[in-house]
Amino acid sequence: MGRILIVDDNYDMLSMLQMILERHGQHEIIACTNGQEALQVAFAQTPDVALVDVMMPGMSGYEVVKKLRADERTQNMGIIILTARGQSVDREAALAAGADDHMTKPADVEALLKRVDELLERAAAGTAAAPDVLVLPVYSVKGGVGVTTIAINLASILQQIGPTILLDLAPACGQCAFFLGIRPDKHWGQYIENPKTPVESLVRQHGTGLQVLLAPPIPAQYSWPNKDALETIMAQLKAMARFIVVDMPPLLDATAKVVFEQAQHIVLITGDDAPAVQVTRATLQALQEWKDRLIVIRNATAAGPRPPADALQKALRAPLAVDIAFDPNQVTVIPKGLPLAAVQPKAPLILGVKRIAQMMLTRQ
Amino acid sequence: MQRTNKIVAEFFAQGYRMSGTYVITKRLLADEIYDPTTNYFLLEEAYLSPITDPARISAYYALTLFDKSNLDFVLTMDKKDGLRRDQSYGMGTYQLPIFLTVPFFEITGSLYLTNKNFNPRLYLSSDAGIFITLLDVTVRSTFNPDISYQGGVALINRMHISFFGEKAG
Repeated sequence: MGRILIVDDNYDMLSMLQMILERHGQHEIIACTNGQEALQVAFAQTPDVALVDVMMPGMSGYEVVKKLRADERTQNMGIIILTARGQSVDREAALAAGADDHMTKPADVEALLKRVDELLERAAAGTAAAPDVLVLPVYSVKGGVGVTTIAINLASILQQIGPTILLDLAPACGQCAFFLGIRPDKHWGQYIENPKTPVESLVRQHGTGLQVLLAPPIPAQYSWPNKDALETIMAQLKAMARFIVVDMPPLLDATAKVVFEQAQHIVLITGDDAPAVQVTRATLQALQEWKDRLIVIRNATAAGPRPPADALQKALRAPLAVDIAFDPNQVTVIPKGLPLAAVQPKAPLILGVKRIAQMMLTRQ
Repeated sequence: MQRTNKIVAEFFAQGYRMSGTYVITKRLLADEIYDPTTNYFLLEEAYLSPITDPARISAYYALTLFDKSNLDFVLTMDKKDGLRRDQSYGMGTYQLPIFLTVPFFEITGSLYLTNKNFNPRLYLSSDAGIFITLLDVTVRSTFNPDISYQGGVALINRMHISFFGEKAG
């Protein structure tokens, strides 16, 4: 039995949902017909789960969800957006606002009850926020295909949706500090040296608002985190953000697998040249365990002729989710220490990265 | 979940997406849209979004009246909600995959025909009201093809169609 807040301006829908939920689980129902009232009630009574309509006069459901997520009393509650707007853009907007799920009216009653039960179980287990943090590694075993560029810009785009941390996992001399113009005086190496150091204290904030946990600047000064250390780092980062984008090193050991295990999606980047294709094909085999999470991207890091996407897909035996053409704009922003996404949001590279973000949010 | 006599449909016109509630009293949504004797259409609880940012709600209107001839198309998620009463008894035997464009959108879907010999010129110029019905529809925004809409039925204003073709494959 849980306490469920239902927010819907349609009285018929409100009473129907109330009846269904009361009958199903003898839940305590709090019904509200507008967003303002719902927020007051939610902050005062802290329900376990909220079902929120989108189309309401005054305050839209998205605004309600954002305000619930922004308040520490309600930030961990389970939230389902239940709306007649059922397109993929609407699902994306619901998840971007901070909802755990998006369901279309008229909802399938069994599916709705199941999802409510899952969120109630999650609330009871006290693990509210953890499952909803998206871990998104950007990876390639071959260097020079733009992993850091994609990771930084993906993080920068997601930062506009919710708190995002960019984790540079390079064993040493990570590129994120250079690309973002941040002095690497704080980094995860200090946690390895002293595991009592709160990870939060090592996270740097970039001028764009993006939070970054940098890699150690000097090679061989700190050891690469072992599995347990990385699990602890990830757990602490998850308490701080909605998205964790990981700039992955070209490694596939037990530590790297910690990230893949926790990832909802893995962005695997390939280039055009024969070695890149060969390495990507081998990597696809090595990552079979997580094949459903893989999003394969081609990123051109130099100008010039490119093999057709079809030929590349045949060679890889995998579909390309996004094909990014060479974008000279990227070179111009590095000296400024800014993500291209923050400076030229319509640059071709950024439109490609936005497509990646969009796919991740809609596939969630 | 029990269905009510209200349906929510998406109305697209002149660069806007409007999600609104149609209350079924005497006539189905498609019968009302197809009716050549009326120019205006009344919608309740309408939420407006620009098609450049289609999830953002920029305005709300408790009651909205609009001119049907200005609509580009209407989209319903559920097939039942978008068919005319006469169509709901049977939609024809032959499915013809169609591609067409209206301002700001590319639309693919199926025409249901009773006759295998399809003549697009005849079809578009025949005087059977200003809307045509397409089933199992995908709509893509011309300037942002990543934004797409799915629907069981689209009622498309034939006067706004620029390109109309049989879809290969």
